[in-house]
Amino acid sequence: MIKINLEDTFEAIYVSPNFDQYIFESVLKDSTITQLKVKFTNIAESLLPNVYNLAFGPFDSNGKINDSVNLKHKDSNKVFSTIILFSITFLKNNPHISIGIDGSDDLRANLYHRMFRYNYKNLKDFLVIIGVDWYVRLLRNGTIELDNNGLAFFKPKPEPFDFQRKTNDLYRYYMFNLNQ
Amino acid sequence: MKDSIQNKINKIQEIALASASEKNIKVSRDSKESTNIDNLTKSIRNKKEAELFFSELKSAIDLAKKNAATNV
Repeated sequence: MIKINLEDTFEAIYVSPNFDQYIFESVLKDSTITQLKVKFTNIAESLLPNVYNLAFGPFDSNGKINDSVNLKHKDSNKVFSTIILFSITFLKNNPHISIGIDGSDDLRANLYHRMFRYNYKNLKDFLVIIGVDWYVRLLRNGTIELDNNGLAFFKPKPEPFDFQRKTNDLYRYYMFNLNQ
Repeated sequence: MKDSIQNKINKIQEIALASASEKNIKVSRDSKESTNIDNLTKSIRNKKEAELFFSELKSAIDLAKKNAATNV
């Protein structure tokens, strides 16, 4: 279980001038030290200019974030507390922005879900957490709305994160904003 | 916000200011980063859908704030 404590975080060794990129070091269970990067990115030419995607992970051989690796951190609580602190810093400097988390796989989505669910009391003064589900419209003739390819026409629908929802009912996408 | 947390944020802001005046190897690493399109971005197909989504997002944020204030 991830326990967020914003008073127990790693120090940043690099912060970009516009607060969208951070690097810090974490100790793994085998005692090696690894650099982790946290990055907030807006998709170029996106129709959602105020939504920034959160990605984090170690560097791959090309210097990009490898967000699919599963590292065994000695102190996962401190790693995630650090990422949340950086997120709050980013939002304080960009208060009109929402941060979005896709969850590269179910394992990560499950982790985010549990992290938000079990740390609500610690986070609610800082962040507003939103879950996004995808729905398809039921038409009057009893069929569902289809897209041009004949597939179900799904649309994203955000709602306040339901803290009663368990991890067998994950949201497809998570968002958070500054609670200001 | 607790002073201790605000102090941490202040320190991060100081590091950002220092980074702005340094040519750092980590910055050059960053410039190579590509951007993956996420599920949300992929599912918004036009401006009208984006406007509808933001309208619903704003309502969800307002309700979540209200819930947080009343400990729901």
